[in-house]
Order: sequence, then C-alpha cells, then structure tokens
Amino acid sequence: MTRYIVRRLIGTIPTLFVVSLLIYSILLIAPGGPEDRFAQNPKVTAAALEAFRKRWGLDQPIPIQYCRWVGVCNPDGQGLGVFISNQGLPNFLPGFLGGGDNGVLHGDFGYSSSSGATVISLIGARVLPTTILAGVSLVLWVILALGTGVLAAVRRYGKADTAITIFNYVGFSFPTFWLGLMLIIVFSEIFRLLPSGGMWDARTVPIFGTDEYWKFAGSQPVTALLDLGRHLILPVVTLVFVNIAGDSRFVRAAMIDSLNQDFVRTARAKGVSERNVIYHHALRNALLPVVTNIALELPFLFAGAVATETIFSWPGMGLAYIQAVDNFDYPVLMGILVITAVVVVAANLLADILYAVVDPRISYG
Amino acid sequence: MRNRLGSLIAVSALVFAACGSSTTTAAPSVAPPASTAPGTSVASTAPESQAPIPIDITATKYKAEAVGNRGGTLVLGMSGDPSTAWTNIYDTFANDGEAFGPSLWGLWNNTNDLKYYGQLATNVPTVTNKGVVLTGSKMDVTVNMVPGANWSDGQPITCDDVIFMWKWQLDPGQDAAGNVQGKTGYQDISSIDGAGTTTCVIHFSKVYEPFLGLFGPLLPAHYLKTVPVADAIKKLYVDTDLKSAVWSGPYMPTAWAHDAQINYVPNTQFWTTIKKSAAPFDAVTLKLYSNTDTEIAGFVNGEIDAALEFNQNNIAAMGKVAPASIDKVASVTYEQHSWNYASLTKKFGAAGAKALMEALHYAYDKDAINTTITGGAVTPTCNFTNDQAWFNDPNIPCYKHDADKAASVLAAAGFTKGSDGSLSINGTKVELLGCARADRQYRVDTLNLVASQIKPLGIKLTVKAVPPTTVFKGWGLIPADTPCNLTHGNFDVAEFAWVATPDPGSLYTLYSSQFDPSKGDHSGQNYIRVNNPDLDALLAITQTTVDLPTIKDALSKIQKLYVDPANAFPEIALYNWTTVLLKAPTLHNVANNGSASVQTWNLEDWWKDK
Repeated sequence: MTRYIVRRLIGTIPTLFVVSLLIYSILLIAPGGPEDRFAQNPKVTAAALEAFRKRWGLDQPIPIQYCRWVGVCNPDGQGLGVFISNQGLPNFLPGFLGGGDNGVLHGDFGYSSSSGATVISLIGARVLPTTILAGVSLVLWVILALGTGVLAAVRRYGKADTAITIFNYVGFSFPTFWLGLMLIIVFSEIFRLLPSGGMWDARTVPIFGTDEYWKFAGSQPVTALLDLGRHLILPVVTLVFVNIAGDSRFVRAAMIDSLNQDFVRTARAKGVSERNVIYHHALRNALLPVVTNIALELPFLFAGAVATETIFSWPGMGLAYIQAVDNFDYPVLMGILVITAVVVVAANLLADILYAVVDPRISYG
Repeated sequence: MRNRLGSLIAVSALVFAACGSSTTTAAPSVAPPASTAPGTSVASTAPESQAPIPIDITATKYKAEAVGNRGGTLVLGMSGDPSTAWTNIYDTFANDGEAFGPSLWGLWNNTNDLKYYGQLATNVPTVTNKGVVLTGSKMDVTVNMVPGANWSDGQPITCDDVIFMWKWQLDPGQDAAGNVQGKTGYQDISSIDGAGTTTCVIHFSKVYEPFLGLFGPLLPAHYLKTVPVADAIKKLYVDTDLKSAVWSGPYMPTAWAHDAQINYVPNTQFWTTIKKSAAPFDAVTLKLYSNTDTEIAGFVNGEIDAALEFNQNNIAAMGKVAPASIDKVASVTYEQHSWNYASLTKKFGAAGAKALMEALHYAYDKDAINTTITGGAVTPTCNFTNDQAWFNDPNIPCYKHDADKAASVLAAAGFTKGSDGSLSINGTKVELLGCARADRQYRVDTLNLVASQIKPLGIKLTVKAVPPTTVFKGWGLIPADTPCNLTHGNFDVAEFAWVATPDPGSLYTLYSSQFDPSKGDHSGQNYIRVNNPDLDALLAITQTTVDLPTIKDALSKIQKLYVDPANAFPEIALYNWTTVLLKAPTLHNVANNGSASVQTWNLEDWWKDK
C-alpha cells in the first residue's frame, strides 16, 4: 500500500503540471485580461497600460510567464539567466537551498491584480467559510442520501420509492440560483425568519475568523453557534435539496444490486432478521461504490459551491472565484484553480485508498 | 454602478457608466473644417458679450439636520465587494467610493444637488471670490485648507500633503502601478506655494478648468513617503492592515472581510479637528452582499439600516419595501445611443447621413423605451446634462417623437422605399448594425425595440451582443476589424451610458473632432465621429476659461446643437438613470446623490433615532 501511495504521489506531479499548464493556457486564450479593467478608462494611457503589462510580466512570451508563475524562472533574470536565482543556483530550488522565492513552487501565488493583496491571503480567508458550508451540506446530504436511497431500494416500486424518486428529480431539476432566491424571498423577505445572506449578523457578531470573533465565540459559544446556524440554514437547504438526488439514486442502485446478491439470499435463508440483512449485509456491500463517490465529492469542501455562495453572499471560495472572474484577476483565478486541482488529485488518491480499506478483496500491493 | 466623486469633480467630465473616467491632455484648439460635419443651426460660436449672469456653484439646498441622537452602530448594505481602498487612485469602481470615500476626503466634493463644497478646504475657489486668478494664459488657485485639521494619526493636514501628492501623481512609477487618476491636471501645475502652511497657491501653467477635481482624495504625504511609488498599491492601504493606514474622513476602516463586511470606527482626529463635534455613531458596518436581490431582502429583513447602489433596474424587485424607504433621484448617468456618423456618411453620403440622423431623432419613441424596458422607472431625456448641473440650460425644449416627420425627412432627402419595404438611397439599402455588451440585456432589448420602431421607415437594424471588452477595448488592443468595437468605429449605433460630472470640461473629449479615436494616439472618445467646427469652437471655450457665465453660454449653444434634430447630432440621449437607495425611517440626513459623489457623500451627517 505504501509503495502504491508513493507511486501515486509521484504520478501526481506530471498530472498537476499538465493541469496547471492547461489552466494557464485557457486563461490566456479567454477574452480579456488583467489590464482589461483599464480598457474602458481613457485616462489610463497606452504607455501606462504597457507599463502595467510589463509590471505584471504580461509583456513576456507566454512560456516565460508560465515559467515565472511556476517558479522555475527568475523574473529578474535575462536570457538563460532566467533559470538562475539571485543566489546563483537553479531558481526552482527552495529558497533555503539557494533557489528563488517566486512562483508556486516557493509558495508564492503572487498578488491579486485588482486589489494588490496576496493571493494566498485572499484564498486563505475563504477556506474555512467554504469548508463549514460545504462540510455541513455534504454530511447532511450524504446522510439523507443514504437514508432515502436505502429506503427507496428496500421499498422498491412502492409509494416511498415513488415519493423519494419524485423528490430527488424535483430537487435535481431546480436551478440552484432560482431555489436560493425563492428561499430568500419566502424566509427573509416575507416571513423575516432567516437572514438573507452572509455568514454572521453584522449588528451583533464580529467578523468571522478575526480575533474578536474567536473571543466572542469563546465567551458566548451558544450565541455564536446559533448565529452561524441561522445563516447556514438557507444555503445548506439549497445545497442539500439540489445535491441529494445524485447520491440518493446512486445508493438506491447499489442497494438494489446488493439486495439481489446471493449472499443476501443466503442470509435470509439462514433466518437473519430483515433489519440485519439490510444494514449488515446489503448496505455494507452497497457502500463500496458509495464511499468512492463521496470521496470524489470532497474537493467540494475546498472549491465551494459557486452559485449557492453567490446567492447567499457566503464569503467562501466560490464567491471569490466569481469575483476574480469578474475582475479578470488571473493571479487569484490561477491560485484557486490550481489549489482545487491539487485537492481533486488528492481526493482521487484518497478514494482509491478508501476503496482498498473498505473492500478487502482489493489490494494495491 | 457609478464612478466616484473624485473622478467626478475631477478631471474629466464624462465617464462610461461603470467604467473609468475620461480625460485628455491634449491642448484645446479648433479643429479644421469637417467633411462629414453634421449641420448646425447655432449661429454664433464665440461667447457673446453680455452682462455676466452670476453663477454660484456652491449654492446648495442641502442642509444637514442637527444630530438628535448619538451612539450605536450604523449598518449599511451594498452588493459587491470593493476592489481597493485606494478609491479613485487605482480604481474608480463605485463601490470603492461608497466604502472608502467617507474615510479619505478630498479638497472638494459635490453635494446631492451637484454643487461644490469644501471638504479639507474651507471654501471653493472661483474667479468671483478671487480664489482663482488668471494671469495671461496661466492660472493660480488658492486653497485654504481647514486650519488645525489632522490626519487620523495626528499629523497635520497641510499644503505639504498637496505638494507631495502633486509630485507623487507625476512620478513615473505611477504608470506601472495603474494609477487611474492619471496625470491630467497635475501635469499642468508648475509649482505650489505654501509649504508648511494651510494656504496653498497652486500655479497652473495653463488654464485648467476642471481643477476642482484634483486632489480627490488628498493623500497623506508622511504615509506615502514610507514606500516607493511603485509599491504603494501593495504596501499602503492594504486590506489586511487597514488599522495602520492614515485617513482623513469621519469614519475609518479597521477590518475588511472580502465579500462580507467592512468595519469602521470614528476617526477621532476628524471629529476633534475638522468637524469639531462628537461622532453620531460609535461604529459603522458595511455589510457586503453578493447581489442586489439579497441586499433588498436584507433591508426588508432589518439586517441593514440603509441599502446602497441601486438603479432603475432594481426597482421592480423592491415590492416588499415600504415606499417611504425608497429614495430615488435622477442620476447624472444617462443612457444613450451613439451613432457612428462616419459610418453613416460612408454608406449614405453626407446629405443622406444628415437626413437619416435627423429622422432617427424623430423616430425614437423614448416613452415606449421607458415603459417597455425600465417599467417606467426613468425619465426620458433628450439632453446630456443633468437638470441640476450649473451649466444646464433649462429653457431648451425637447423634440417630440414623430414618425411621420421622420418619414418625410427621409423622403425629402431622396430615400425611397422598395417593393420589399426596405429603405434605400442611391441603391444602398439602409441596413445598420447595432451593438451592446452582452451582459447588459436591457441594452440589447432597447436596441431591438428601436429596431422595431424604425422598421416601418424601412430601416433594418441588426442587433449584435458582444463581450464588454469588445465594445470598449482600445485601439491597439483589439483587431481593427472587430465588429462592434467603438474605437475602430465598427458599428452604426451602440448603446451604453455616460456618467456626466458636474464639470462640463470633459465634453471636449467626447465631441471635439480632435478626439476622433481614428486619429492621433487613438485615445479620444469621440466614438460618434462628430466633426463640426462650430461645435469644436464651443467646446474649446470650456478648455480655455474659468469664467462660469462664458462657459454656461457656450454649453447652452452646445445643448441646442445636441437637442435640435435638424442638427442631426449623432448621439441620442434616451434617459437619465435613476439612482436608488433604501433607508430606514429612523435614519436622518440621508441625501441620495445621483452623481459620482456616491450615496455616502455626507456620511458624517447621518444619525439614527434611538
């Protein structure tokens, strides 16, 4: 298993390289660019635009731009010297070994071209809000998907199955933005029961993630949790309702498949209770593909839900992504996309490992 | 979206709605006679000698009500995260102005009725009050700064700041940093006297009429000096370290959670040295929503005391808001159709283009546009000025929609309708290309509506929706044959909005033949390719004098030229935008501002009932 993991980890390097190259290329091909936010402003002269492009390295050939972004090339170097750090050694080496300090290899994702803030600080502030929203939603929809999937499979073609199937297809068919807006109109605007957006009450609770917030949460944990919970309800309901269908149908299919297996028939013939047959025999086997599927959904915890975060003003990764798109903020976009790619690759690896863990028949030895 | 005041009073006058501001550094002059000039009925192009009409650009009707209650937190709402605290320096996004305008004051600002008032200056210099002195072709402006005023860190606000900012703006490092305020105006300053004092005399090497737009905001010299110019945007006013920044306005930001919230506390130096009273609020919070629908719901739900930055397109979603809480004013932003006169002339000849343009003015049914596109949320206009602008001539009547007149104008010019109903002249069918950015559906809809209005005349207008950058990208940044690009003139008509400023000077870059973007350095904004020597001469007046009656007289003539269809002016104003804010009934002194001064322009006066 260890050898397998090491082999897979080494294999992620070319994968991530190709992914980053693709993302970089797509962004460069896409219309617009960081300097476009000045394109409609005639006060920014052609000379100023050129200087701006030079400052951000946009005047360089694309391979050089990419090379600098990765951290293999030194932005201060000329000719072949671009590969040499200011310390005289290959730039890709870590700084403490005489390498450079620029590029993602050195943990430098650059600066936001619209705000000037570091990309890492912008992304860092978004991870926890997204993880909270996505985590709560994921846990809920997985639990509900398991429950409804099992129930639908056990009561196949019965009223419960029909009801769950209709519920799933309705949820699956609802556009997220529409459902979110409807929930806001009903529960915020008409009944005024729940906040329309945001992650905390601006009147009574400090900004989430700040020292003040943690002090507040420490001194009034119930209030802080209730406040967070109130703000979570509508976006979580939206995410769960829309996303439950896929997993629920997946569980239903796996359970039906499992319930038709010989070992289930044998268990029933041996007089095992129906409850035990379902939960100890059929479900455990049905979970194998489900676990893999859920592991592949884990990147959602980082990447967030773009539409839901945007509708509910949830200050997470999805909203940051939309903002970066709007502002042609390529450094931030690259940061989000590449880190997401890393998480996706890691989740795939985790899925494979989990598969081996839950299914003893599988060995990566 | 609107642009912030700085740009507004500043510099140039007209800017794209939601975009940057315009300006030019070119010297004013009268353009050569034009081969494609629309006719004009304006007889005189020079200022007439007459008794000057007193014009007071400071005579505002705004009067703040005395603060009746202090304490508590004011919670504002806005949709969209500001991009930078460097409002009007490195960005002109309206949200930047709302968020940081109240934190960093300029020398002057505009009231909600488009009058000028001093912020860090005690008065508004004019020729009348001897604050502006003309010496030949040069100009001296005396700035009396608020005596004893301090920055938030206790350092005095003096002419040293004015002098340093002037030099800082001209630093070559600004080019690479992307300073959107530009050098215009600053580069016309030859020197500034008054170092170490609060009375500064700014010496201009030429007349620079929009000088009230400079130094908005004024930046603290001692803070700027701490880093090289090129590093300023990265190291100063950093979003993660706002507490160490230096401010001058009533409330200063202390924390900024992007896409979520900005916290402010009273700037004690402001309240003790400038306003000389206690702050009405203990704190101000700006809650950032990601869309206007959620913001409106948040206001209805009582999450915020005031909701900022709406326009006519949001009114339909305000059904649950108490009517008394909806504050609407006419914006300086106006929606218009820019017709490419060069393109029309090339297709239909000079006489044909003139007649076609005249007919189009009559053919537009702007009331139908208002009711169909905006749901009646705007007021149709025929003019480019805001009613409250000091240079507006209210006596110029608008023409009426008259489809029959349009048809007769075309017929008289030799246009004929074929058996298929299509209009043509000299064998050329009148088939036109209309352009709008794809992310503004209402513009696409408006053009389609106009297409249906002019179809009975036999005119075929094909509407094309394209990415915004395709419309606005500059000369060298896009292939010359890109359809719908304004700079290259690849359109017959395009819909977008202009943001007028309280100063008329920037009309020069829009309508002077010098600024045809096909010419010179291609930075001009005369996308309509109007080329009229009489108009050029009138526009030149706005660049060469600071005598307000003279400017107003010239502007009156320009308005006449613009409005009278007989002059075939190739821009058709449709309507002024409506600027909307929502305010709780407990809030006082909220004075909705339809200019780029933004709605928080007088935040220091706001207070709330207990």
